[in-house]
Parts: sequence; structure tokens; C-alpha cells
Amino acid sequence: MKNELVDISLDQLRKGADKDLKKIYEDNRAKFLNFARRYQLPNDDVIDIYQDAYIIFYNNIMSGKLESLNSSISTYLISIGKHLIFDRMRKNKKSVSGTYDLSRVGDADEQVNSFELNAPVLSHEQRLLQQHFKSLGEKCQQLLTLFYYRGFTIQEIMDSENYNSENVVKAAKSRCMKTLKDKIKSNTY
Amino acid sequence: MDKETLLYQYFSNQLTPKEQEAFDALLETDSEFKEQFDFERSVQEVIRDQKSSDLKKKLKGFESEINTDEKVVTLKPEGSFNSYKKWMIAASIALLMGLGYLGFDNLSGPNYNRLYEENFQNYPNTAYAITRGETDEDTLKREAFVAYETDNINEAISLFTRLQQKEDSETVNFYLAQSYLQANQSQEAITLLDKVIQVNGEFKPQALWYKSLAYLKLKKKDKALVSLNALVEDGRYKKTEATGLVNELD
Repeated sequence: MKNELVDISLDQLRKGADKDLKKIYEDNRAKFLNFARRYQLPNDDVIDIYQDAYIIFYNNIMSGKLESLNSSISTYLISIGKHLIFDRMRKNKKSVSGTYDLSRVGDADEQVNSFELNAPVLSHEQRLLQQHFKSLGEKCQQLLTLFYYRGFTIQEIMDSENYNSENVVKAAKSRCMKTLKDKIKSNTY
Repeated sequence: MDKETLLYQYFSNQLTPKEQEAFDALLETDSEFKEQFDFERSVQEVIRDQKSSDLKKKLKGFESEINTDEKVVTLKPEGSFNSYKKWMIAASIALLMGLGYLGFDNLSGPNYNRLYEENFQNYPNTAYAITRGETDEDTLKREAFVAYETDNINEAISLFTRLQQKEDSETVNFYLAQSYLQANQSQEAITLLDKVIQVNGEFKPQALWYKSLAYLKLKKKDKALVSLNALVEDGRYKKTEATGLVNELD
């Protein structure tokens, strides 16, 4: 029973409709901004951080790392946001020793600590790889995204994309990866 | 369990603790295995990065819609854009003062600023998919549209201007005009929109709409009415809104 509403929201998010993405963004925005106000960052920085927190939250939902929540979405976003705010203040060389209420986010914190909060900055090679990836056919991009980003199993990919058998999925995946490697070798777009 | 399966289990989040041990050991000892793992890991990071930046773009879009709803001038965080931000803050203060002043002025004629604010929304990039693979001749165009989509308006203006020298097309002129409108340079925008209207192509009705708004901004009622009427007659775009504005202005 608990968190039923939250679970519905997460399901909608996974299905990926823009209107749900937007609704959840808007529904939690005021609470987050209100929380962040105490750090006295410029308003546009706070919005920027809210968006980054939302992206981390979203990526963890989509990758299956976060399957259900023990508390509300806003608590999660705030918990992630807190880390990001401290990071930014440290970079701006501002003191972070202010008084802040940690009890509100205690529960969510545990789960959040297992997230990758700092997205690695892509290396030059990875930027190239990204260009090559984007030049793959639609089907390959979709398949690799389901596998590497969504963490789908071969079986799940077969079901969601209407492949005939697991072997067909496996073969397609190998072919896509080979194309990608070949592109890197010849460095053609 | 073979190496391929181990990698597969890893990426589909299914490694058991025992498999994890075998996995870690292989990473230490088997350089070929590590190379393959690094490659797949890179693919994963690249996709995640792509997804994140797509989402960021969407969120910025939501944010500017929220700001339009609240009738607040949008301030977009962009690292090196401090002077732009300051300028925007100054502009928003000026606008607020202006709105306050116009509050007293309401009875003496149409409230141009209000009409403009209510109706102006920048036109989305429908012309160029910035996620396509890039080729050399496309780089400038791509950068211009990226700047446009991410609201780097000063940069968009300078890039579209360069692009215009190479390609004096309907599309380029239209989006350069859009950028000028966002920078509140209405007169520059009108000149370009006139060029677009003359071509009589795909963007003509949109150009008429934005030309009307630009004239509203300049408080030139008669000229705004001329292009609004042309737009109503054309009928392809914003007909209802244009009719509404004609009624309010008349």
C-alpha cells in the first residue's frame, strides 16, 4: 500500500511519455526550490541543480538501479540535490558548514549514496565514440540503449522490440557492436 | 561460466556475488577481457551522457514554459554568460518597472507589453536535427542550432549571421530573426522577417506572426495590424490568436 502513488509515477516515467516527465518535474519543483533557498545560491544555479538532480534520479530509475522508493520523489530529489549543492559550493569555495536539516533526507540518503552522483566527463575518445554511436542505424541505437542504458536482459529486449528469438537479439547486438568497432577503426562517420 | 556471459550478466545487473568474484579476478588478470569490458563500459557511458543531455534540453524547455506562465523573464544558467545574465536581470527590472508604469496607463490604449508577453513564445527548432552525425559543411549550422536550442542567444546570433553569409536561406533568416527577437532587437528581426515573407515559402505565416509581435513590442499598432490581417487571410498559422489580437488592438 505504501508509496503506491509514487510507484505509479515511476512506472509512468519508465514508459517515457513527455507529459509525465513534465508533470513530475513540475510537481516536485517548488519543494526543491524551497529546500535549496537556505543555501543562498543564485536562482538560476538552483534551477540548474534541480535539473541535474532530476537527471540523476531519472537515469537511476531507467537503468533499474532504483526500482521503488521508500519515500516521496521530492525527498529523493532533495537528497541528491543536497550532494550537488555541496559540490557546487565547494567549487565556488563557499563554506558548507551552515545549519541544515539532515533528518528529512536520512532515509533516502542510504539509497542515494549508491548512485553515481558525478557523471563522468567523457574523454576525447568517448566523444568520438558518441559520434559513431549516433551514426548507427536507428535499430542498433535502440537495441544498445535498451541493453546498456536500461539494463534489459536479452529476453526483455526480445519481448519489447518484437524480435523472433533470443538468438536473433544476440546476433543483432553482436553485429551492432562490431559495426561500432569498425567505425572506430576506420574513423568514418 | 564463459567470459561473454559474465559481461552479459554484469550489464544486465544480474551478477551473483560468486560471479562478481570471478569477474573481478578476470579484470585483474586477463587484459583482453579488461579491454572488452572497458569498451562496453564506454558505450554505456556514452549512451548515458547522450540521454542526460537530451533530458537536460527537455527540462530547460519545461522551465521556460513555467517562466512564460509566470510572466517572468527567463534567466538561463550558462557558465560563461555572466554579462548576458546581468543584462537579462537589468532587462527584467526595466520590464517590471515598465509593467508597473503601464498599470497606470491601461485606460489610455492597448497595453503593448502585455500583449507581447502573452503572445510571444520563441519558435522551436523544427528545421535541423542537432543530434545527427556531423559532417564538415554542417558544423556551423549545427553549432548555430545548438546555441539556439540551449538559449545561448548572443552566440546564436553570431553563428546564424556567419551562416547567413554562406547560405542566405529562408530557414537561416527565420531563425536569426528569432534570435534577435529573444534579444529584444525587434528592428533587426523585422528586416529579416520581411525577407522571409518575400520568399513566400514554408515559414511565411510564422514570419508574419512574429513580425506582428515585433511591431507590438515597438508599439507600432498600424504596422502590427497590417501583418496580423495578412496572417488571418493566409489562415495557415495562429489564425485564432491573430484574430484575437486584431480585435484587442482595434
